[in-house]
Amino acid sequence: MDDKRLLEVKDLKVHFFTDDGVVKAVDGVSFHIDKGETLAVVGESGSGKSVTSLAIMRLIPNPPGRIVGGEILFRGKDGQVKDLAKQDEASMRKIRGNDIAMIFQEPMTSLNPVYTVGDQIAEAIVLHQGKSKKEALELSAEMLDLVGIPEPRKRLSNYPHQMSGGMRQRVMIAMALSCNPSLLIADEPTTALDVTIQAQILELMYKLQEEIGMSILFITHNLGVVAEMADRVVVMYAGRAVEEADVTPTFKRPKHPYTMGLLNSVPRLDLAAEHQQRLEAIPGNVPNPLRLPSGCAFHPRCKYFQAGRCDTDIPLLQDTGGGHMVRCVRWAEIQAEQGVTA
Amino acid sequence: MSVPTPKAAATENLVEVKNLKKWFPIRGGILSRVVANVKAVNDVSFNVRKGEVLGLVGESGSGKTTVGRTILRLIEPTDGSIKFAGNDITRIPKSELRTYRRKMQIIFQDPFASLNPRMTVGDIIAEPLVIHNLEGSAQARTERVAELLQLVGLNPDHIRRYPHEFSGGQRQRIGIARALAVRPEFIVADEPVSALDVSIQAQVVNLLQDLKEQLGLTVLFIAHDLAVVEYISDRIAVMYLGKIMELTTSKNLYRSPKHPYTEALLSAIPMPDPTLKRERIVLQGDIPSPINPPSGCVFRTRCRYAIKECAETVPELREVAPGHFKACIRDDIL
Ligand SMILES: Nc1ncnc2c1ncn2[C@@H]1O[C@H](COP(=O)(O)OP(=O)(O)OP(=O)(O)O)[C@@H](O)[C@H]1O
Ligand SMILES: Nc1ncnc2c1ncn2[C@@H]1O[C@H](COP(=O)(O)OP(=O)(O)O)[C@@H](O)[C@H]1O
Ligand code: SF4
Ligand code: SF4
Ligand SMILES: [Mg+2]
Ligand SMILES: [Mg+2]
Repeated sequence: MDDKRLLEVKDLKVHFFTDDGVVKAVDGVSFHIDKGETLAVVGESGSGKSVTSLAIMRLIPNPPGRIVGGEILFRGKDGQVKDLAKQDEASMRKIRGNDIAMIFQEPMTSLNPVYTVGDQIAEAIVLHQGKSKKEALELSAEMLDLVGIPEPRKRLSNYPHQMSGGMRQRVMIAMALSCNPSLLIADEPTTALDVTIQAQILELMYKLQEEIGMSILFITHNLGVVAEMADRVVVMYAGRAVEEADVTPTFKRPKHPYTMGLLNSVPRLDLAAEHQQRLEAIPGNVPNPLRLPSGCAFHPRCKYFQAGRCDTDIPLLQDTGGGHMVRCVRWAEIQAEQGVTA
Repeated sequence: MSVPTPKAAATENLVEVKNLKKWFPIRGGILSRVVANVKAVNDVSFNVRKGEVLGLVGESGSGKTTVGRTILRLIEPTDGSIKFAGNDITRIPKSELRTYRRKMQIIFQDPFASLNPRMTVGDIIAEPLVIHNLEGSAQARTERVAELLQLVGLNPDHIRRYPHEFSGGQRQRIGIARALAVRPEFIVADEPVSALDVSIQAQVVNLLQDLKEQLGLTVLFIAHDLAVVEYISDRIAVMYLGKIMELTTSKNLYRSPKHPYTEALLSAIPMPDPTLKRERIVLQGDIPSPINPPSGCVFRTRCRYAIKECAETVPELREVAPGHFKACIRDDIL
């Protein structure tokens, strides 16, 4: 693996074996994250974003779920590259918290309601860094200060329910960062928050990344948040990455019809106010994961669909130049149709 | 207190809300005495003109849902008045309310929770027709339901299916069809697209826009996402802690916000354009509790323009430019 690489996911497959059939939640996803980089994974509900991140942490509930294929290469703090898909639980326990930390959408469900936030952060520190309880509490107060919680020492004795949603998310971030991870996985960390609080949390994450230099895997369905936070973007649809590119080309020169559709369907404040034109919706619905359409899973909703080509084979993820990856058999024709020289 | 309708406008108001208050008592102790009040809606006045979409935006807990439900008298107001088509409906008895209930319908946020899972789609949509004794025969009702399904873009053949057989966007369409069944004049749409994915959200926003045009509906469109509200609304009211901070046309609100809260809200919304470089105003701290809102201007604890006087008087919602209302004492800013 390249020196600057921190994580490389190769052809990852995670399937759930349910009573109704096999849900191919993640079915051949590849991407990488460099040191200090923020990679955003976007896609609509059910596209496989969370399952991808849980697989990296090896937290897929089994049964019914299992990693059925692929590699998750990760460079540990010691410089050694390991395939996380093949580690045992003891080895993963060392990696979680030390090398990779995760924050979730709803901080209330991931904090324990019966312990004070001080105890919870300190416990993580004692567990992963082998510090004494007293040292850990001291460090916890420093962490709360770092994430911008006023009067951090007093707050150590608060229970989660005594805090607002925004403050709980700050506590989660403090806990995640207390062990200096090289990768932070943030799964919709601001989705449950109001926009003014979201702005605070995004600003905080941005600032902390500058200071600490960690990499972030940022999962979201909010394209505004992606534009603001990401260096690179992976767009997922029905368990597969359909486009991957740097953030500016993703938004300015998208090459996959689904990405184009997604961008057109987002209401934009600036455009709405100027000319109240209609939103361009993507017709139809997200497919049932048990009955994915043949060939390109997006084909029943795609305005560029061509019978005999789109519905037969699953398109490959191709490099269209400069690392801009697209999974569409017609991408070059579509670019030409739109008057863009490929 | 003046009611925010532009002075010159002769447009007819369908709904007039004046000094509306809704306080929820909090009881405590053995005697269950009222120990405090949640001031969910605290002196709100506005009009909804016939045929317009009035957007109501604000962060969670600002009182949007409570305003919507109080107007429909699904909850009883604590104080103030509500007029529908010129008639005061604030305190009329439930029996008289019936005729108005038919004219005013609601669409809910959660397309999963708001439909009875044991009823077929046909029965769900026909229910208001039965309650209001409309379309007499079962045959006529079935025809009306089929017509409604078509209207909201669903297949009329699916009349006998159950809610779980539909996706989120389709369920929201069912909710819309049910609200439209009784041919209402006024619709309160409470976060009708908030639970939906963006591609589906756009479908439902477009549908609502079409229906409004086709049927000449008047709509109070409640949402926390200002961008969505901008698309569909003629005018927008911005709420914070139970009060309206600013009210004007969509265009004005975006181009020249005059209230510091609106300014901050606009700047907090991340734009889907990585090349845009904007100066961001990050509001400090949390929204205060509606049990004990700040004195004077409720926004002052987070306002970057706050001065001493802001703590002393409650700013009135006043017209600062034609058709542009704000509740802020300072005219030397923005
Ligand atoms: N424990 C499970 N058992 C069965 N299927 C599952 C399980 N967890 C996830 N899935 C399925 O895997 C697919 C991907 O789910 P995932 O949670 O990754 O979506 P997501 O992209 O994170 O969506 P959201 O935006 O709603 O969070 C979905 O079809 C989901 O129903
Ligand atoms: N039935 C109720 N009892 C007590 N408090 C309530 C009740 N309904 C709403 N509230 C409170 O009133 C305030 C406004 O709520 P709501 O109108 O639901 O806000 P929004 O719709 O803007 O999120 C909140 O503080 C909320 O907790
Ligand atoms: S492969 Fe065909 S259906 Fe799929 S995105 Fe490309 S053009 Fe559309
Ligand atoms: S009245 Fe004062 S505190 Fe309130 S918005 Fe105006 S300047 Fe800010
Ligand atoms: Mg998820
Ligand atoms: Mg609400």
